[in-house]
Amino acid sequence: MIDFCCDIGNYAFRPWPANDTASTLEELDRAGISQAVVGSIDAITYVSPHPANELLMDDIKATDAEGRLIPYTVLSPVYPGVEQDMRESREIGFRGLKLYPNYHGYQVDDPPALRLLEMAAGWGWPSVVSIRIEDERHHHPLMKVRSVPLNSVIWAARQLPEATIIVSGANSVETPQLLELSDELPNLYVELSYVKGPVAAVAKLVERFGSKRMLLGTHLPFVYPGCGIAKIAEADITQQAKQDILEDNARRILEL
Amino acid sequence: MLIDFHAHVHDDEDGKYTRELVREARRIGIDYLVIHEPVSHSRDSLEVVQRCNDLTFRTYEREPEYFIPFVYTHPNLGQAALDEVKRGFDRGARGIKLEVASIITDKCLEPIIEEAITRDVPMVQHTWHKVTGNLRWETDGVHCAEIGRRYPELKLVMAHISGDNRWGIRAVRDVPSVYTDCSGSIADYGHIEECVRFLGADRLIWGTDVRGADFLYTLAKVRDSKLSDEDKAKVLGLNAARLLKLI
Repeated sequence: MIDFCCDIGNYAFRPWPANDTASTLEELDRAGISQAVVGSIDAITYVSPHPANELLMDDIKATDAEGRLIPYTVLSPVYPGVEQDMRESREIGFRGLKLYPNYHGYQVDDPPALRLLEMAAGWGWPSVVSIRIEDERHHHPLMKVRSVPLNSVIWAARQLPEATIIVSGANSVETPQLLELSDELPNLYVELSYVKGPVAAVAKLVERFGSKRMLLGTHLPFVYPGCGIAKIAEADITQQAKQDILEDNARRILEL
Repeated sequence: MLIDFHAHVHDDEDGKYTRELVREARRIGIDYLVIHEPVSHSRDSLEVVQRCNDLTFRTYEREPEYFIPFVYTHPNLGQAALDEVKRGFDRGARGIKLEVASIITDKCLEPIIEEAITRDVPMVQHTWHKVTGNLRWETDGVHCAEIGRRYPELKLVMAHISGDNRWGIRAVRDVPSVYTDCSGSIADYGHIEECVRFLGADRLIWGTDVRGADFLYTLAKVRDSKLSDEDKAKVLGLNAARLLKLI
């Protein structure tokens, strides 16, 4: 299995059972996940995100000898020097881009974000755009962060057909809206960590949209990894559909 | 034993939804579904409340060996609210379900609470704590704690661990008569273990909140937790079975 929604680090608003690379690898072992696309949690709330990327990379290099973690750099397109941060990220080993427009205060369809997505696409990097990381009803009272408007991600994907964009954190209502655009936007994928219903949720999605555009996302360490896995692995769908979502689609995107 | 303590029925004239629900629940290994009203988010007339209960009991009658119905009411309706509860027990109800028509500490709840105590049945109260602001008559965990202290003989179940489980667990940790169910979309890593650490394994009950939730997603948060097998068995069915007098 390959997890397309796994983050590593400390979160300002609650402790997690896993907060570094070593403990994350243990969690992945326990869940039976062979590889994971990872980004820095610290970078989400750092005003200047890149130092958190550097810390994460140091941790990965010290701990992940087998190369199971596929690091994505978390950057803010509107922060000064971001293109230099992108280049440095590539030099030190990052292999993709992860954006949190709602936490860093920009729209993903604004020119600075489009420029960064274009830069990533030029290197053959996929880009993850996070819609939300936590239920909006449970945020810190002084830091209520709204979800990213779906239309802004769709617009960005339309503007940049050469960019592979993975939407992360889309809920049960938003995910079908994205998958309905599969024919029009072959560059758009959805990881399923935030799909929590309705009954037989994944089976219903596969029935409507097929299995080629969805990816396993556990949302480790925010969520029990078994939740993201069980709804796919134990769904009433074909073995091929399970294989697509749990591994093969990610393998294709990551060129593994 | 696997009991989903928090499932909602759905407007289902031809029974298709019920058949799909039961098929999926049985496929996963669920032994019983405790069913409540269709999800409601306001104060409504008695007619609407009765229609909700009619749906619940119609669903129950389709699979009476599988479903365990709870009667739903809006306590602000006064005597009519209590009469509707009694009508529900005449039709086979095994507990009472309350949503967002009144905060549980409101005086109008008193006859409903007394009815639950007299019948010795569980009362499930939808509960949430929202930083974005609760609905006008939406119960918070601290309200459940207050009622638990006032009526220690009441079998009160604070639904959803009050949504924000950090808040909910602390709200009722020193009120041993209050149970909680972990139904709903929230699966924060570690919260099941924290709930058991503070409340004990006898006070946590598994539920899903279908039809809005997925059975497998919600089951995995208990199954994937680091609880002992003995505690998982309590949470996933034995606690509910005791409350419902199935064992």
